[in-house]
Amino acid sequence: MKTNKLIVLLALLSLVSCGKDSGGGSSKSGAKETQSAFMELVEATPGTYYGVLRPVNFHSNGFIPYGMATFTLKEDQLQVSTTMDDDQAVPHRQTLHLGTRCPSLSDDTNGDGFIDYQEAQAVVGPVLVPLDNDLNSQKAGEDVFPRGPGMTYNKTASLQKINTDLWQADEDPSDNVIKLENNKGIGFENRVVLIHGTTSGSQLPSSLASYKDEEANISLPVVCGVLKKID
Amino acid sequence: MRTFMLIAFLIFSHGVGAETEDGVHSIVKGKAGEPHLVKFNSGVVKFIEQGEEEKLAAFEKQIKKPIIQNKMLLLEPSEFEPTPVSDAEIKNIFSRMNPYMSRRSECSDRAHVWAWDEFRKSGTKSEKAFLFLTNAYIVRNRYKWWYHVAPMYTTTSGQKMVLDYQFLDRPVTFTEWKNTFVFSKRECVTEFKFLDYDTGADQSQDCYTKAEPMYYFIPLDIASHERGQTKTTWTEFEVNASRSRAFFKGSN
Repeated sequence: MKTNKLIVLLALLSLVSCGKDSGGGSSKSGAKETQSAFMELVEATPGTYYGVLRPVNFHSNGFIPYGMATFTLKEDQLQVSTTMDDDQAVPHRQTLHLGTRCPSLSDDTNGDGFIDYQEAQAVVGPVLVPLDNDLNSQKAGEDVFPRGPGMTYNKTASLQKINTDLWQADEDPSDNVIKLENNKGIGFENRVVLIHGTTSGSQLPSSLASYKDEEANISLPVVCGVLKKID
Repeated sequence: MRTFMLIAFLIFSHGVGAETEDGVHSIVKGKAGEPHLVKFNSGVVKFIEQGEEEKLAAFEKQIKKPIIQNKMLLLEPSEFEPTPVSDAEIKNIFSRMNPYMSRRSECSDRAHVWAWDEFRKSGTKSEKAFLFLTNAYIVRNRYKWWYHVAPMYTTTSGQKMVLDYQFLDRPVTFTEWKNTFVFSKRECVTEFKFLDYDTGADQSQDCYTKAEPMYYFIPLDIASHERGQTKTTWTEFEVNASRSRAFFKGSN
């Protein structure tokens, strides 16, 4: 197994203005500033990475969602599969993060009983790859996510294309999507998959922070898992 | 001891007819303005709104009277004692649990396979932690399950730890487990007969809990015990059927 550990380029962090929130919501503060907590990135090697997706907010509605995520790398081809059992007919924003653990109630910093978008981001860290309609780049396929209930997502991509995209200049250093140092490839081991979105009928407090101007129920983290290599 | 259990397992594992399919357990007719509840053996609750009585009638036809035809069920009181395990071993057991759950797997199937797999590997006897919700709680929270079950182990210090791998990433105390699923975090009723709960729980309560031997698969097994027929060993058919429903093929 390849063991060379890669370090995320922190120089980009110096470009980030602390506390800047350009999204109209409260989603961005602290995203890249706290990268140092998530630095260790082990470059992906061929094999399968698997994570159980467990509920983040058990009490958002009467159906407690759960699922799984599988990343399979064979030569240059990456296949990503996520599934989630829920009864929520809403789009489910899903992202691969640099962090190494999922949020728990101890991360509920405002004490409202929910892990909102911002509280989750503080734990799972910056986004490496949005699991959207096109995995080959962070921008392409943007904001086209699978929809529940009973979500199933399957996409394939080129590892080389993903890395090439990750080595581009960061067009928006203020957002929570990061780039990597040139020639430092993406890794999956111990990385976090986070999925959002519950129904508007859910009884949610007004204190929830959301992504940009999105409705709080759509931004609400619902399941999360940490990928481990299984073969 | 394990050899004896294995022999007993082989002897009693044929021709048993345990309840395994997701049949209708019961129906609770709602008062005016409230939905009717269809409760399935798997724990799932389906809400039928007022005015949809045709749907309700279709489910009523599916209710089966419990038929006790399992030859393993003995007319003897249970003297089940869980095996005490160290705190370190609790973590080891959790790390050994099969993580490859299939879509729409049910808690009763998962719990049964996890408990059996650990028993087969180490001989450790566990319990099942059953959580039952009242109809009032279900309606108030539009909760989609009327019960939940997970394997529970007893530590050498007497602590009850629930290992609910699908929902929680570590072993938790019984109270923490209960509070995870009961939004109000109210205490649950612990001294009760399941048959009484089933025919009309105290609707001022939110929940009821029971700790039962690992052999118990679904609440009907508790009901059978209370009727005098106690399940005292595993059923191969039941475990295999649970595994096929709840886990990926070949994942054990």
